Amino acid sequence: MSLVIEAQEISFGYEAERPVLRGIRLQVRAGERVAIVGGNGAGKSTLLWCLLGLHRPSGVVRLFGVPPAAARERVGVVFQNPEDQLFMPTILEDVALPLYNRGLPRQAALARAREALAAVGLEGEADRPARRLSLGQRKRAAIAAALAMRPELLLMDEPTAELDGRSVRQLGALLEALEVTLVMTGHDVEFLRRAARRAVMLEAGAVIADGPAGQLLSDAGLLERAGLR
Amino acid sequence: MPERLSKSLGRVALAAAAVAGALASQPAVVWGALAAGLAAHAGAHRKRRGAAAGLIPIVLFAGTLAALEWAGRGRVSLLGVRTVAVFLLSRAALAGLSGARLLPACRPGSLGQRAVMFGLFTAHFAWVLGEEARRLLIARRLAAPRRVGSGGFRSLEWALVGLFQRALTRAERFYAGQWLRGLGQ
Repeated sequence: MSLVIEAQEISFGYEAERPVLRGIRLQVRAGERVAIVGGNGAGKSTLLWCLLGLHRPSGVVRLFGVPPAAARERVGVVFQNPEDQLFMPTILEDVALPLYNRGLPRQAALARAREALAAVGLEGEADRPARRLSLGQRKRAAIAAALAMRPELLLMDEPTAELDGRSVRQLGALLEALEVTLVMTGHDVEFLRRAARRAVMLEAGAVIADGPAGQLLSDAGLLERAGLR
Repeated sequence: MPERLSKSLGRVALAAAAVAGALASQPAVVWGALAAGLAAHAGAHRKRRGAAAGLIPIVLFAGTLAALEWAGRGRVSLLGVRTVAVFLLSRAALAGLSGARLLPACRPGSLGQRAVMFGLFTAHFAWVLGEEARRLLIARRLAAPRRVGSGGFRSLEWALVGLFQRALTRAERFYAGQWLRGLGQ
């Protein structure tokens, strides 16, 4: 399996004397479903931003063998707050926008956007603005916007944050059906144990465990150490 | 003259007045632009009260600019007046135009697309800022029993600081989100 993410010894801090990430090494291969798990302040979202090229850590980050900025068209991202991604007057336009931007004709872009919205069960809401939808629907709309670009790698920051039980189940079923390399951050142990096959546990900016999600996320001692219980 | 043509000419005139208000060095032109902007704003509102309420955010913004100028240089320029004039004239010129509809007609990377995206981003961010301000003011009302006086003013000061910090964080995330989608560069 080809290497999708390769991070070597990456360290990063917002303040020089307080590193948030310390010597992270991570490799993710095509088709893997990885959960980056840790308590609040463990460095999960910062790691995600480093992998995306939004922060410049020390060390090496490569996506598909090239620097993150060069691989942008192959990567889909869903942020914790969908309002950071959706801003058009309708979610259909939101999903279609990057497609126009890549030069797809309007009708083709709209058709592909409708297809993506149908895949996340939002075909009936296509003409509504994101701000009028529930948080669960907005998350799904953000996923549709990412999927419409047909990414090979999907990165999701805290996908279940602030979602109710039903929305979490819907999201789980949706992710189950996706055929992409998936990397999620979060601390919702129950959800991540089901949605991921591999877990990487962070504590204070360092990897403390990396292995099968079912095993690591059932280890009471490890969960305690990572601040997840 | 057909209605559509006269509307388009009206938009062009308003846009030209906005550009004049932004660039002119003569105070008379800037004040004239403000008068035109206020007239266009009043014309768009049937009720005087609604028109006045609609002016509050931009006047507050321009007032803050003037206060910062006063604090920094000890004098106030026409920047605040210019800001209000250009805002009102641009809004009147663009009223009813849907950026979302214009966008597919623009060539990717063209100046037109950048202008439309700028408008859409600004509109979205104004909404985000409004939402953040509303949340912070509710939090302040719940936390600070006195709205005026030393406790009240102090809490307002911290609410405003919090608003700037949140606005910065949200702006950073929004920019990152759009950059990753191949937009906003």
